[in-house]
Amino acid sequence: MPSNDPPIFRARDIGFVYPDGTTGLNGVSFDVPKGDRLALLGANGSGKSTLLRLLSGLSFPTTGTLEAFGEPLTEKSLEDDAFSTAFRRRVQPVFQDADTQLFSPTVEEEVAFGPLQLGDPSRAASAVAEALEGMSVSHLRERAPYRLSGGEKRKVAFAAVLVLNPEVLLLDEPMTGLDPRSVGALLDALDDFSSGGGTIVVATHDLPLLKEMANRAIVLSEDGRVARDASVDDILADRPFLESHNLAHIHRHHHGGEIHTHPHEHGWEGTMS
Amino acid sequence: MASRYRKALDEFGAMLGVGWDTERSARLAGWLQNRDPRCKAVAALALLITVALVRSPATLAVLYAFCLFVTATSRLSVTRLMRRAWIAAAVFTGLIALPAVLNVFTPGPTAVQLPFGWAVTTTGLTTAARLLLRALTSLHVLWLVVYTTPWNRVLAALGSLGAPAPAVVTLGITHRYAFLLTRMAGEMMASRSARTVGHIDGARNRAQITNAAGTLLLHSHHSASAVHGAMIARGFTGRFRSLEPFRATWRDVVLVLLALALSFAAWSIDRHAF
Repeated sequence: MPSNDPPIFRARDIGFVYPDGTTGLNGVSFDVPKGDRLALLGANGSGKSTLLRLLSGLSFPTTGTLEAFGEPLTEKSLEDDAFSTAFRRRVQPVFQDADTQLFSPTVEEEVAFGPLQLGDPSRAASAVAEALEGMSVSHLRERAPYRLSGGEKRKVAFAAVLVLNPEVLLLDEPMTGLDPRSVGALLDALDDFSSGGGTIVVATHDLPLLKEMANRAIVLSEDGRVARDASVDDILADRPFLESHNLAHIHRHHHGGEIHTHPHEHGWEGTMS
Repeated sequence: MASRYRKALDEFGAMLGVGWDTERSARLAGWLQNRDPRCKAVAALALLITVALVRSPATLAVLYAFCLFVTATSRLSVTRLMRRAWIAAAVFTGLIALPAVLNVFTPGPTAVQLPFGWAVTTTGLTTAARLLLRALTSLHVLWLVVYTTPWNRVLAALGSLGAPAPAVVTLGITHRYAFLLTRMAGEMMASRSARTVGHIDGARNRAQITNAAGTLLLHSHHSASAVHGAMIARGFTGRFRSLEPFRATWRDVVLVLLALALSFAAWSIDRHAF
């Protein structure tokens, strides 16, 4: 039976123009229902990160309408403390650059920042301990975030948002530059979050991990339009489409000792054809 | 040349006295570490005002000695803090203090005669000593607070004492990015070294450094906007909060009274005796 609840996000014909006049997004429309695991795919500069900023309520569309939980998500609506607090509790972004996301002097204070601002300060300490434990970073509690490795930073960034128990995670290239163990730990965390009914919107280029993170994908074309909105399986099965949108590549390859160069495709399931 | 710049940048980063180093020292079981941050801020403010008001180098030296005594009771390295304070004071006030000893800038009785009619005057020496001791003591007072208090509690204390939110936010973001920017500047310098062979002439060198400074400035603007966005996303509305609630005890009241008494005594003695 279909739910009468409004979708988490409803975007209608949204556009975004950067201050220098460049068009970032152009007539983008989609819904994100509760529990969805949506990937935003597209070449560099296609507007994925911009779209995530709009969904985070950190930037606002130049044209069109964007709603969150059935309410308009605008600069004006976020000036209302009640709406802003409720929205920030429910929707949490994880930025691509962990150095930007982590601004406190210690890991413990970093993770405590959200609960102290948005939660019950008397419960902040126990929530922080739980979040650190959940991401296996308790031992880093007193370390300075900027002195951590890339994988550790990303785990702390996740702990810092998961501690708020949000309903929606907005992730920008979450697996970039991580070693396999860190990728595994973050995928497990995302799986736990999703299994608990959480909604995920993830901007990524990482086709080999796409199925692990999402069941639906929106592909943005290089002019910032929606080129396709379909299941991950459908999109991955359409190689010509992926190549035409700069999501799969063909390049020269050297075989063994032979000087043998030819076009070569990389598959997205870890196999090489 | 480039390695000299890199070393200078590293030293500057260390001299800023922020980061993990201060977080670690703030968690030591020293006398000042156990004091309420708000009381420390009030005590520091009283001392800073006094340092600005008193004129005698002797009085300033007594206040500086008091700071060193408190440093020792707070399990901080007196020599390390002194060294950092002297470097910073030499950099920021040396340029003014050094010429001030000469008769061309500060006339007065001659202390040391120099060639070409120049001389070091006793009045000049007193002026230079005053400037230097003011800078040293002020820096030391500030560092006593920063080195004995977790940074977020410093910001929360300033907020709870009524400091304007934009000033506290600016301080917070500056603290966060001072280290990142010095590190980035060091990396830019290393990248330049990796692509440089031989000697770069002075004009080109200056042009490259100016370009790098411009890039850093733009990057710092971008980074500050991004980090502010991250703070907003986690519900920041202009007020820092601390994980541990503030709790003032009679010892904290003693600290404030002690600072006020010392400030008043120093000011009175300085006014009447010198």
